[in-house]
Amino acid sequence: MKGASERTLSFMLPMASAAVIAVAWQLAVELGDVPELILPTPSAIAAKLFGTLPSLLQQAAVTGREALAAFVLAVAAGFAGAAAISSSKILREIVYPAIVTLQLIPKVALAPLFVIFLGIDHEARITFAALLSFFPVLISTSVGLANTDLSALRLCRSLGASPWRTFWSVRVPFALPHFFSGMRISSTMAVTGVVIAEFISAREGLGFAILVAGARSQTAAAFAAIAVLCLLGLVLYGAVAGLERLAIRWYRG
Amino acid sequence: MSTRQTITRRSALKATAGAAGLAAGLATPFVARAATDLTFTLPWLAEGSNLIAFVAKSKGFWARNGLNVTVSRGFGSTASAEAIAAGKFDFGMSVATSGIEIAAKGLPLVQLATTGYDATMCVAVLEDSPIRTPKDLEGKTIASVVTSGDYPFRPIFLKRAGVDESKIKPILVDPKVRERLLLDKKVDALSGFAISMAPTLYAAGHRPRFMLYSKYDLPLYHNVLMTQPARLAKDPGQCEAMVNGLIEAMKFTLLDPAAAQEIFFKEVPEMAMVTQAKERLRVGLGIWMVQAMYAPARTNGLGFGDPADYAKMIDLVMTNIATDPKDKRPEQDAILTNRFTGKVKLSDAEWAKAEGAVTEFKAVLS
Repeated sequence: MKGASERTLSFMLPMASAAVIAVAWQLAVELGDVPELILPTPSAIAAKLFGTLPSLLQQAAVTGREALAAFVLAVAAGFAGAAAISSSKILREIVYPAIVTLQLIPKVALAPLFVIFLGIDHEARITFAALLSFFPVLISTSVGLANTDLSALRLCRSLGASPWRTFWSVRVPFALPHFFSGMRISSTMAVTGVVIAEFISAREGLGFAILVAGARSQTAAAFAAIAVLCLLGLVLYGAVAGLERLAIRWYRG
Repeated sequence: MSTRQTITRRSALKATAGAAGLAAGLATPFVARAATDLTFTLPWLAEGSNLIAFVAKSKGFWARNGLNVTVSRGFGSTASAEAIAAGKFDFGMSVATSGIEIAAKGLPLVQLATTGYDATMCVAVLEDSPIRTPKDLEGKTIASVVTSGDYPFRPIFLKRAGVDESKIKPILVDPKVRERLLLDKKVDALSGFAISMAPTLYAAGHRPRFMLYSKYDLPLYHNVLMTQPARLAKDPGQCEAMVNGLIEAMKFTLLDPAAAQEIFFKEVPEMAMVTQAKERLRVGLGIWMVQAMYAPARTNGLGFGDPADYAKMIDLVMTNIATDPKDKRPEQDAILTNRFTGKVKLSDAEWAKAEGAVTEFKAVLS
């Protein structure tokens, strides 16, 4: 009973706070007589959202496909990188400084280069988004793999388990919470990465829609596209959270 | 004790100095003693097409009119027009059609003086491109910058040029990569402003060809000085001073482009770090000069905006850009004034001198 009421509360509180913000926003714009070009009301955004929903969903499908591809690439590369780093101290010493340095570079500044190197199509957008979302998985997973319970590792060694077997049966399950926390961050960054890349070069997609609306001073349309973008990010994030729940249930047996 | 004053050499000098000071004070207009601080936005980065703002500042043309102007870079024509209308800047320059669009959206904006009569919106191809006419664009990829003022007019240009737009492969790109993509032949053509694209393409050693929208009855003006109507109503003297300074800078630049370029690098030293900076500036300024010499300036004086051209531009904006049901057609009198323009005219000899300096670029825009 207590659990059910907590769940209701955790759903109701964000909804209520969102509603309060929307009402305050609506009143502030209406009473302040703010032009729609500067800041549209939530009702104007909602009207635009529902009025252009089929088109926005079509754009969301394009961005979603590329974000998913980038995310899968980032997770695969992040996991493989973390496995390699955690398996060899020498490799870690070689690779880690480069990774940290790369992480310090504002990657948005690199986005135009991807278009120059890889062309104007989806390869450039997916690769850029994958690069952007690869680090959280790599860092989190390598931390998880490095922090495996020492007694479990000793037990494996005493039982003569191969490094491969130890990795899959002990290290990976121990690293799962870290891996998934990296994946959760990565999922949102993949969407952001695709949108940034769409700002550099695109024929369609939500980033394209935001840019077109913004350029034509259709602020409500830009906000509507941003709302769909948030929704897309939440769907991907939710999918990862669901996957995490399944994986942890499997891990706990 | 005598009350008669003795006039000594010292007292005579003092009296003369005092009188001279008083006379100078009376003769100097108020504005020259109390400079007004103003902010000014360019439509884009500092470049040849907006160099006159730096000339006006550096040569003291604004200061002479009692204005202390701070010039800032812009972030696109529409964004600049929006920022001026919202009062984030006191004055600024932007493309005329962007100003009309913003006015149609209900933001207060008035255009005070025209600094260019052809925005040079165009489709650009490299010199060796097989694309010789607009019709050849069918089946080809054109890269455009969506925030660029030319973008909404491209479909009209294509239609008027008899091109089937559905056969074009359009792609939107960031301005940072646009010219690079053409040079690398990743796209077949670019759309944009020749005045902005040419400097980069020339600097890369190419002589591009431009298909200008203006050749298809699209009279799209380039940069125009803009401000808020409330400022014009409240302080017309300040607006006039602003126009006067800019017009003086236009005249100076048209007659001595070499000196204007030197001023630019002095005022914006960081631009010298750009590869081939001098060539870029020479090309941008050359193209600006060609279209600043069009008929309205010759007939009615520098800065004049032709109401007939504005009527066409308003029609084009209302049918192609400001198409939201909430957009309202702005009254021409409310968005354009020629109150302060037309006072400065060049003589035939001066026009000939200005033309002689940019023969190379006349061909580019012909």
